Amino acid sequence: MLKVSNLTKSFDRVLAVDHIFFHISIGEIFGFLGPNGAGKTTTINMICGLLNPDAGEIELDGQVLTPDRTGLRHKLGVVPQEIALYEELNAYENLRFWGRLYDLSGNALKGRIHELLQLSGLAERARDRVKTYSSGMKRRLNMIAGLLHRPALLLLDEPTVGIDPQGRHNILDSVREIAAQGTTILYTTHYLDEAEALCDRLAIIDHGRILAMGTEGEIKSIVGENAIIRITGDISKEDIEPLTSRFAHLKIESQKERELLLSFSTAERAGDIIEAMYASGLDIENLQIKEPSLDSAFIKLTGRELRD
Amino acid sequence: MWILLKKDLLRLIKQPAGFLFLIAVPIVLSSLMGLIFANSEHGVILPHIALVIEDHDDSLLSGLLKNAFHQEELGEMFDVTEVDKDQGRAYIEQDKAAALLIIPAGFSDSLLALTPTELILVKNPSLDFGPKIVEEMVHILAEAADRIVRIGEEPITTIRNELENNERMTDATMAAIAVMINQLMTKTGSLIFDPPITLNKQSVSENESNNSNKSLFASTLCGIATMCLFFILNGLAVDYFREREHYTMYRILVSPTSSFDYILSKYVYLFFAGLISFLAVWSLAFFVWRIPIPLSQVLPFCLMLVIITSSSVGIISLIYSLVRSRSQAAAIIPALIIVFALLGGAMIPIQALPPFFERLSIFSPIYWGVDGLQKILLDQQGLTMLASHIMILILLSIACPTLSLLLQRRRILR
Repeated sequence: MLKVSNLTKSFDRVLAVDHIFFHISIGEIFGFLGPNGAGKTTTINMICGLLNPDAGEIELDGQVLTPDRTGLRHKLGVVPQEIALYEELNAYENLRFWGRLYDLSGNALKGRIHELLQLSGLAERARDRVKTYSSGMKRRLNMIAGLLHRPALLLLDEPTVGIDPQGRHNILDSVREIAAQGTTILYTTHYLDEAEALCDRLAIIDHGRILAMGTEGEIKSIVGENAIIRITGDISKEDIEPLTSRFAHLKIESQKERELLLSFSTAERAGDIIEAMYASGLDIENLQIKEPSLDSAFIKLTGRELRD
Repeated sequence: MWILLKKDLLRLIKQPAGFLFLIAVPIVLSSLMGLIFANSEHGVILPHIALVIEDHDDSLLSGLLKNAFHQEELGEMFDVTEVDKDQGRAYIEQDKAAALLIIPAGFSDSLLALTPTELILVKNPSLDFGPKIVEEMVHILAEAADRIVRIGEEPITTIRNELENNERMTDATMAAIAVMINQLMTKTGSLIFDPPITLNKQSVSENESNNSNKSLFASTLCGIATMCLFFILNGLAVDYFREREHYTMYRILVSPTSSFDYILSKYVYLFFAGLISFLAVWSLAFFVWRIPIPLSQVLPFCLMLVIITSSSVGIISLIYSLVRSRSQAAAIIPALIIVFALLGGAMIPIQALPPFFERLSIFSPIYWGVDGLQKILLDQQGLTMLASHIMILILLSIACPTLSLLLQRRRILR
């Protein structure tokens, strides 16, 4: 369905997307996981033809996508991260406008609008101005506006940002339902649980580079059987070095101000390591252990947690 | 493109307050001007000037001079207060008078003796217009008095000598003076009573007076309406930034719509909205305030409105494609419009500008619009006479949007 080869984009000498390759098969939910500023939205903007890549190629159904080939955009549905709606218009008027941009009209458009309003639970408020909606309702409307023309590939750019857990749950359900109908989805997020819950395959992206790609299991296997210890306090690398020589599988992953990330093989006993830490008199304020997961894989790959 | 345009018009209809407010400004302005000019029944209204006079001479001639300020139109214009000696300056200091005229003691004697004399005029420094009129008027009166005395020098000298030497004039002296006056009248009578050049004074009829006022109204409205059009377009063009900030532009541009169509739809939207507001102002001027326009000038006038609107849309769009943010636009564009309006004769007539700025006026796009409208409405010029105006405005209508389109597309695709 979508093939991205050697895609590169920089803004004023900052490399936003750095020679990335990936492909998405028909019907797949592909997750793009990375912190803010990792290059997810820039990649989406190039896929939907808004940005010209500096290098590389994007193919959709075997056809190369360029900003000038607007016709190919009929196959794409884009749900932007921000609420992109006209607040002075009502939901129906908004959907009618966005539908017409994709050459929908007449009864086909009307029928599709009613169908999606029902699906999103907004049918009763369809004639109310969008500015009177709650943020969750706006999010739902924002999403269905990208589905009007039944796109073959739906690009969802962090669709759950800034909404309450229930609204988030509704959106994830909707995404599953859309995928079940055969739509291919590229889903960008910085929430690990969403990626774990939704995606068939994932790519972990940071500083414009894809660091790992595969199924959840494949990515976890990159970390191996390693768990992560996160320590907060007045501790330096030098304080830990005696412990790394004592425990062969204990490694320092990164240090940032008052935070230290260590990884250790589950072959070691976590209790022994912690006991040794306290015994050596380290000034530990807080200590967390993360079992092998996408989170620990991310930390292993990027040297920081996703919330950074 | 039409879908986008329809959407913008629907948004305008759904939330008309902003647009109505923008249109209200020129409508209110033109209505006020209409009230001032179009229905005036009094012709020119004379200014009212407070004048204080100190008469230290208290003679027949000083009385005549004072009376001159009470005659006919001068009486309407001047509000004369005669005060005692040395009290006049207090009026000036308290801003109660525009000027103080002091007639010195011996004024009459000096005048009759044909020796130099002077009138003292103290002007109020805090006022500008009134004291200048008083100065001019006193100057005219002093000159008139001088002429009268010079023409009647001989009889006046005889009367003066007789009065100084004898308390009562003899019959012979009286007869001699009468002969002298008679001869003087014979010599000067043809000049005084039967002037070779007759001034045929006619009063302007109310109808003509109204037409003159309406011409002034029309001339001013050409400037105000064109300037307001720029401000209206500026208010509407903020939508470029609004759509960007609300990510609706993003959503449009990731759809099959091309950036060209998007930008073009904005031009057309601005053009229609601008033309509607322009027509609203002029409809008011023609149908309510009855500005006269010959039937033959209706088509050139309408064509000029269309060309002015399209060139204004081009200019505003170009400026918007050069500014980087809404706040930058808010700071720069109104100032730029005011400069264009000042140089273009929209606020004050170009002839009133200093020569250097007058030469610069051709660089203001507003100039070509205002001057074109004035020539159509007031000078009844046809389109062929306005070829240069039309060509320049059409050039602006084509060049500015094209350049703006390229800049906007570049910005969008960055």
